[in-house]
Amino acid sequence: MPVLEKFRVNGFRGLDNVAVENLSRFNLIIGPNNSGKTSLLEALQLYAAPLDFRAFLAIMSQRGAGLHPNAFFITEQLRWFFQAQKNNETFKAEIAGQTADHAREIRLSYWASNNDKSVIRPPGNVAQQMIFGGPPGTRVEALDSGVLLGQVEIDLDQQAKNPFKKNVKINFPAAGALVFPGDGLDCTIPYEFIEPSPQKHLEAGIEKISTIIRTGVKNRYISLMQAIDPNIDDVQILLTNDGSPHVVLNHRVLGLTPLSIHGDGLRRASILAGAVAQAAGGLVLIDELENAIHFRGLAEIIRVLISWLQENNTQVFATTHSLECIDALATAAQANPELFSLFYFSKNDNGTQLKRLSGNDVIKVRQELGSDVRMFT
Amino acid sequence: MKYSYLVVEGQHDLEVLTALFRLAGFKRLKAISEIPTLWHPQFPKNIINNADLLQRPRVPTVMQKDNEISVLISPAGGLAKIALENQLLALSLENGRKLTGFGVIIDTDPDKGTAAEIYAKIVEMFPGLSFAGKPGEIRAGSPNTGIFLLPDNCTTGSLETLLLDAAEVEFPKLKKAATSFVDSLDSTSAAPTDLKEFNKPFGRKKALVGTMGSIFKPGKSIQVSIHDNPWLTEKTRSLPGLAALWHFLRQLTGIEHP
Repeated sequence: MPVLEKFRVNGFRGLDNVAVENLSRFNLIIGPNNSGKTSLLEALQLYAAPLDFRAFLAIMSQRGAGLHPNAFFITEQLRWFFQAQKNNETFKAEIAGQTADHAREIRLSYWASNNDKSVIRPPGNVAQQMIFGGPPGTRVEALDSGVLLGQVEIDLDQQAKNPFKKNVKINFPAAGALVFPGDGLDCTIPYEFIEPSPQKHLEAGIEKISTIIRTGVKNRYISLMQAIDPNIDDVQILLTNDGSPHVVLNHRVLGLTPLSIHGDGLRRASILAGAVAQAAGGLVLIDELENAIHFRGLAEIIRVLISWLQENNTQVFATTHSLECIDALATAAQANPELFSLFYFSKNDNGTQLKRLSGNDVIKVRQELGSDVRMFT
Repeated sequence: MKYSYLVVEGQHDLEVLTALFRLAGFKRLKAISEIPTLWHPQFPKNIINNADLLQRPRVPTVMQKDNEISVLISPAGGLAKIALENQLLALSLENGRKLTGFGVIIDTDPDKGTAAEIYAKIVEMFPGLSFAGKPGEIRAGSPNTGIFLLPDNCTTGSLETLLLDAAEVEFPKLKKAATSFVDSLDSTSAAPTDLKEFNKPFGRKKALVGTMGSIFKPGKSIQVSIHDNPWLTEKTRSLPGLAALWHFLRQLTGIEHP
């Protein structure tokens, strides 16, 4: 996918009429808590996989809910994807993006048939309807007891001459194994979302490490890992005595060691590398980029990442609260400042405020004036 | 609160402006905790990695009066570096829309061009602002803008011209003695390489001011003397050169009473 140049979000989470423009290969999002940084990443997730309910579930899970036993009922979680909209039976949101030669617009909407959107009711008691997208008049299917149905109508590849529309019914409980058989609709853009905390389930990384080995980019992976520990010189997937596969690093001093015994920094670097490989040609969405990584290693990691992103045509959106992370990006991209942009999110009574600093701006402000760009409200 | 942003070249320019504002009842805010948050991005957060550690970092001064007017004075470090101020103005102050006034006060140094050329260069450095047609004039707006070329917006010269006028009024005997000493120097007084700065266009005037400053504050920089000694007083502020500068600053920042 060519890089997204513009991205617009309307009515999703706390983001209303937010347009980010002049996007770069590497986009760093900064701003106070609750300013909408993570919501932007979530909107990008849905942009990449609008018909895949696993993306919706993943977003719920990233917020610590999803299918957790103590979580809100799923419909209630979905309702909070949308901004509060008074005097409106339907919650609506729009997510749109544009590359140099391509546009995509996604319209999402949600409502409850009992006219009481705020009440959470367990399945089986109340019929509830849910619709994702669709203009007025879109058919809505009533919810059978215990089964939640959704309907999607999304304008994909919305080029003026030939808007492509597709309705998809979703049986929500089966969403985990969701496919769209026979519809010939392949609209998912490769993407990876990296949560702030170091991933604990490393087995999930085996697929990505396999991709790295299979696609011949092991050297990139090793370069990234060496930014944390220069003694790492190889990665393999080996079966342990119990027959289960594990990611194993070759360490010049320690020998073959499971990735899982190493510290959070190496595991975070491994996740970053896996994401770039897996999302080749798509989007890598990173919440709190600097987490678990010592500041001295950040610039080298970002330098390797940027070079890799260019090679496999992948675009990064990352959030951070760290000035050291901003400096690391400015250092890593000093020779090619056009490769990155900084977006400052903030909120006031007029809603989300957005400020863009080009790579050149960031380099000048940080490396020549030493001012704290995080204070540019 | 009315906020204004002034750009000067160096520390002694900053100190002269500071002294003028002090005469008008302004106080210098010394701790970041006292300084309005609007100004916080203007201060360096850390030592810049590639900075020359022998150079004084660009640290602005904030002069404030009765929570009504707050003036930030930034020592840019020379004409070439003034363009960097536009980064801060554009990115953190909405191209000056958050300000009452924005001004640049700079020497008319013949090495940098004529007054008109220097003026044009500075105007070009701030593409987001509109300026009046000539130096010394204020363009009213949001913000008010102006560029003052020292000493009088037309002839070549520097801040020292104004300081020597002030010395003539406040300590004429010292000035006479210092002038006699400086005038006694010629090309045989020291090695030519060591007299390079002295022989520049404003070298003698700067040496003269420096000589008097060293008598007042031996071993200290000229800005210490400007701060502590009576260079800028009610009397000297009414001299034509300093009066014109103060009038410019008042108009720019919205100070209603002298």
